Amino acid sequence: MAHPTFYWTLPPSGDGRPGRAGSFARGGADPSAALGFTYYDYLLQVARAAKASGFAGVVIPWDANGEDPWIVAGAVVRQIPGLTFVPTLQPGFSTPVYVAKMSVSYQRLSGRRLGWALELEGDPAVRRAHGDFLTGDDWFARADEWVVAARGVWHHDDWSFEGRHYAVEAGGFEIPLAGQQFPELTTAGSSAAALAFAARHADVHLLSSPERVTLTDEAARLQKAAGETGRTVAAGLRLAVIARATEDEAKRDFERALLEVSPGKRGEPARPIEAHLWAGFDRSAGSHALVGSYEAVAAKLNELAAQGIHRFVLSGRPHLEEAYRFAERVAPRLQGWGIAARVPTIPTTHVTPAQVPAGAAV
Amino acid sequence: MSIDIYWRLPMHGCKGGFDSGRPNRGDWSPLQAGNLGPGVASDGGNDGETFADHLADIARAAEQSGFVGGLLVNFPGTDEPWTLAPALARETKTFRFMIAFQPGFLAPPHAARLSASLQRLSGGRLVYNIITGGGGPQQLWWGDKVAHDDRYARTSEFLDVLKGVWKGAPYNFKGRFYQIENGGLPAPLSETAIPEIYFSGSSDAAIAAAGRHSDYYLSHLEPLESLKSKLDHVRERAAKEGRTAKFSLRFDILARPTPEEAWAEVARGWQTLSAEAVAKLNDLRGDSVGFRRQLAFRPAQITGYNDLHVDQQIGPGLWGGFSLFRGGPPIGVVGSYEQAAEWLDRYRSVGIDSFILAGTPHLEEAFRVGEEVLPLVRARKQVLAA
Repeated sequence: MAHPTFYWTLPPSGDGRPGRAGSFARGGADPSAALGFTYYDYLLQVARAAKASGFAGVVIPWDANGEDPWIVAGAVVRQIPGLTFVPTLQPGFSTPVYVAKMSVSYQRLSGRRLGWALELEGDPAVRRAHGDFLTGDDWFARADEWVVAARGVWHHDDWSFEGRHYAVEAGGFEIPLAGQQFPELTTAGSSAAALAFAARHADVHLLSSPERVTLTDEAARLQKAAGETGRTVAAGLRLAVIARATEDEAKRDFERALLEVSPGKRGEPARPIEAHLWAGFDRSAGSHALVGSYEAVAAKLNELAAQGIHRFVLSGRPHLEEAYRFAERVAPRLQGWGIAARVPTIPTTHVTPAQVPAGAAV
Repeated sequence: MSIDIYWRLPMHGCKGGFDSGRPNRGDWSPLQAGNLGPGVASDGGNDGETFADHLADIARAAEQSGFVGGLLVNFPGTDEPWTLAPALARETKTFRFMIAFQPGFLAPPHAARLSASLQRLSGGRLVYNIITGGGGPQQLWWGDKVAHDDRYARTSEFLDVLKGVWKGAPYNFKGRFYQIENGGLPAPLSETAIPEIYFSGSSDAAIAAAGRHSDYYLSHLEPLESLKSKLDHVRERAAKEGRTAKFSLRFDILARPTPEEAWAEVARGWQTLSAEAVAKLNDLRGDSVGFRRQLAFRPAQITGYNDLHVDQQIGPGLWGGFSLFRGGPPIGVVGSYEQAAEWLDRYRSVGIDSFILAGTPHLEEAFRVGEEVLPLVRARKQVLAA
């Protein structure tokens, strides 16, 4: 069985230590702006941390209070080789041909390091604030056409399409825009419509159900829907990680974090699903939290991987320090993290001073 | 009042000279020796350069040579500006990114967020060039079925909504093309500056929309008198909206120490043209009024490059054959550095406040025009001395 891949998160609307949100919020009230730095200088540091920590990529969530994920993804890619960048896109906010065109240029300049994340169950009020008044089945029907049209112009140089929401005539990309890799598509959303959409289009679907039994149920429904379309969709999980040396320290910092992070989308406070796993932790829909000692967190991740989770999208506040902490303390205990493969071999020509015979040139 | 002079980023590839034949800078032609960005490494393989690397070099050349920034053009065959701009922001210091874009493809609140984020990333270096599309097959390629005059109405409404959203919540709007309920950029994005707006289009519908929204009305190069009457027309429409119009002019320059050297380049390039390339000047598809205006200044039958001189009674140097060598408008300036600077001063005297210049190849010509032509522009010297 293939080991899961691990992505980190770039926070679009500020960062900081739990319980310090007011006075030293990075990107907000912190001293950096007065010194002439921007929040993007900090985001570059977080991307560096993710790369140095061994993550395969970073996801940039869409936040109504935040920087645009596309600009964040563009701002750091040329400085950070080797990472995949996954901005979250809103299908209702731009046309599929234009987003495809933007994405082709990103693939060209980055060496094919773009992924797409689509939030399928966004807040309708936020959508209306952005001019998108479609809901329910109509929203999904348009999102369906959006992906179909984006793929259509991507893979053909003379493509026509007449849908209910989009129409293209003799569209499509030519060399050198043609022939780029289409971005891997990640979705999230637990409704039947979202799972059906994921089955048709997604490569990875992040489970978001708030209960263990419904998480397992959601995974099963995803596989059934995917089976019906003849496609493979990998199951993933988004997890805020609070891992500390001891259970008590983890609990203490989790309580600090709860004081400032607003409840999950249904307005319920965070609650435990089972040991170490909490639901409803974050503002963003369906985000879970993993809280415990380094051993316990690693064990939980291994357990979830064994149960079929192929993609972990992790985060922790502050996102720079928690990436390093994860790499040093949790990752060595994970199956398939690949640390052994990444340790450089010491060159055989290296000699320590004690090995050098007296009088020899070094 | 300062004169802003921009360069251009060739988002559609570039070439080493008019006589290069193929676009050998960028990957718009097959990789072979002589290509750049990407190029062929000394061992024969791809050298690993991307076209973004070459665009970064051009942007740096422009800002080091005295240009305030550059225009990022945007067509079906080009790289895309909202993607290149954040990628190059960190690699430039003062370079302003003038992004050409059609409002029809982005919802205005989304465009506002993209823009405010880019302002925060770049330290306020975003400028808009609002284009509204040439119509015809190209518009349908984008998936846009909206007809010409409606596109300008949509553009005008787009800018109303964008500016309203930018001020912050709560913003509500219901118009022909857009509806917003309780919108508004969040702080601190809402605290960034709305970009300066350069606005293109020659039709009545365009000029009406421009009068309402543009900081600079942008035109391609036209003969002096016809341009002057166009500017008067836009000035009138702006005054009706209670606004003062400023004007910008974009054109290519081929300047050398002497006129003979400049025309020798043109002659060399002309020899490489196929009969098809010359006939292409007569392709009239598209509903752009500006395009048809450009075609009016030219004889029906073109036999050599000397058939394409424009406004010769005023002075030497306006030439209508640039579109034979690179995508874009036909009329530009060919001549000595002094002749080129004189044309900038002539257009300044009929009311042009800003220029967007370009030359092929875009990298070396940024240095040349910046170092040799700009210092001779009297209008600029007067401003600098003030």
